[in-house]
Amino acid sequence: MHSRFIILIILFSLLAVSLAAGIVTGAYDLSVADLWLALTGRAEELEQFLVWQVRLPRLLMAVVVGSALAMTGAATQGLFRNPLAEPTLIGVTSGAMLFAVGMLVFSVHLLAAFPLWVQQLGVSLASFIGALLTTGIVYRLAAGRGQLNVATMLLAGIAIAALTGAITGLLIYQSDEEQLRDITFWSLGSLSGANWTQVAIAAPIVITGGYFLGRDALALNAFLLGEREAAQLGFSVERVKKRVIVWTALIVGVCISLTGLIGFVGLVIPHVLRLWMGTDYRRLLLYSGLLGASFLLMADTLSRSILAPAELPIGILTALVGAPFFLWLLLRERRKISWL
Amino acid sequence: MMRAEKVGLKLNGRNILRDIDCTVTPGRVTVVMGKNGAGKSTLLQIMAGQVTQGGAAGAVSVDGKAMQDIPSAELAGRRAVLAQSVQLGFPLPVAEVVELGCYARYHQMTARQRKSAVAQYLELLDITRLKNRSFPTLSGGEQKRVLLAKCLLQLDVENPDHKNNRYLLLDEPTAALDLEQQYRFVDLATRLARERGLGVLAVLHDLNLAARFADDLLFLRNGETVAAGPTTKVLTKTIIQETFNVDCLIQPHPCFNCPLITTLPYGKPNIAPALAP
Repeated sequence: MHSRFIILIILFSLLAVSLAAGIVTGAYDLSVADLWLALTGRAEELEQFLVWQVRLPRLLMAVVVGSALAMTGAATQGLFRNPLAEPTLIGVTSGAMLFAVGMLVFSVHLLAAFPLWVQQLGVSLASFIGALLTTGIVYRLAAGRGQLNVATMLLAGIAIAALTGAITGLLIYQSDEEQLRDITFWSLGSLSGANWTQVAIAAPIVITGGYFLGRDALALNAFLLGEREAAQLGFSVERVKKRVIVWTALIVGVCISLTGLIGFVGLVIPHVLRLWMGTDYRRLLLYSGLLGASFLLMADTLSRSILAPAELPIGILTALVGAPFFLWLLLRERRKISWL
Repeated sequence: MMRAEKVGLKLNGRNILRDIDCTVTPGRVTVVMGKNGAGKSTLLQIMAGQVTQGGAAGAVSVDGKAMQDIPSAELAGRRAVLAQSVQLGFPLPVAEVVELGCYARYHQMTARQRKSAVAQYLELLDITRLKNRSFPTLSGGEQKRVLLAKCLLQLDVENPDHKNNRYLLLDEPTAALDLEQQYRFVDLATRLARERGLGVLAVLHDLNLAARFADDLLFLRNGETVAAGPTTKVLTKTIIQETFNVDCLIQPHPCFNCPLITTLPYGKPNIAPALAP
């Protein structure tokens, strides 16, 4: 009980520190005093705008997306009983990528007459549809006779990813310079387009989804012993699998359709927490959400400050910071990681 | 009473199991025996209500109620299955593995009640010292005991005022156990049946363990019943011969009030090929 409390305090402090660091850092120099004035609505117009319309939505978006990726990562690893599992494997990302790239390539013809924000919305919408569609296909392929075979689902996910990857490659191959740039940026992820509309779209889905994933925490614990054991312990295994996959697809679909691909968060954050406090899903999901949010906040803050006033795509940062840290942890705790 | 009537399973046109009747009675130990591939574990899975795909035939009832009509959370409180082996996706400490046993009534219990229930069943199986160990680091025998503690917590066996009968299904509980552990494990299961009224169904390989502890026996061969009935009636030379294809000798046990079976796999021992000059 005691240690759980301490872990929560640590995670919340980390989140608070990351939020604070995120809001004071940026291309425009804001003193803490100015910041306070802006937050309380007494600053000058420019600063007011900067804080309320640029930094705050961006920070919230980082919180929402980071926690979404880490929570779904933890849930899929439990569902598939596989440490390498992450939302990518159920086809969400590959489908989102294909449709987003398709939209970026063809929007010149399709949406050229519309203003820029419609075009952006078009890309987001397309990739969201793509995410759900591919997950649906992968799910159908793996579900037979009323039962979902998770091993088949993993393999089908990999095959579909290869297929959509090939088509994406074709599209990229015949795209022009500017499209190529757009595609590259999209695939590296960025929170630079964050605004209140995005937050308003993503936050409710992630919060609802997180709540429902959390309600299946007991089932995910039981899944650690295998599906048969989970059924024997009184869980409706098929329904649990369906729920987790649907929520994962929705959560991840909406996030990456708004921010592009951000890798590594979903894979690494749950493992870091497992090493630290074990695999109990009653806590792991919440903790993953908290740590994922802090991690993405920090990565985003770095991405804005390293090359300021330019920005580094956040996908580069998450891998650049996350991978060495994870490797260090792996080497240090090699003996504890019996599941890898 | 838990009853399987005319159950069978057909997979890819092949009969894994055909027309089997099997009854588990509260307070009694029923043992299923047979060669590898005879369908023992399949029967146990069917009786656990875990074979739902096409090709399954027959009906399983629990105290007169069809098994598929019992909600899975309620069923979890009536029957528990000790699996042959369990591979954890990610390591869990022993206490958390045992706690899984009360997940079907999770929300009716407070965190404190769950904790004390876990402690109670760890104590019952004499594994309190393993409480904080990581499950995968335990020996095969220790893992079995932890899983049994989970099953017993699931059935809430220490609670005397229970309105339903409870059944414990053991799938080769003695595999991976050493000689002493095998004996102790089956002895424990038998005591649970006698003292707490559990209906026990166990798949066993050792004829002498079965002879000593089983009340009823079911012999399977190629998915069909060879013989079924009280141990005293069906544990005979011919039935063993028919089930296992081995000759045997049945004598009174020198120490216990049960038969002692010596198998003679090569017919007469003095011409066993391995021993031939």
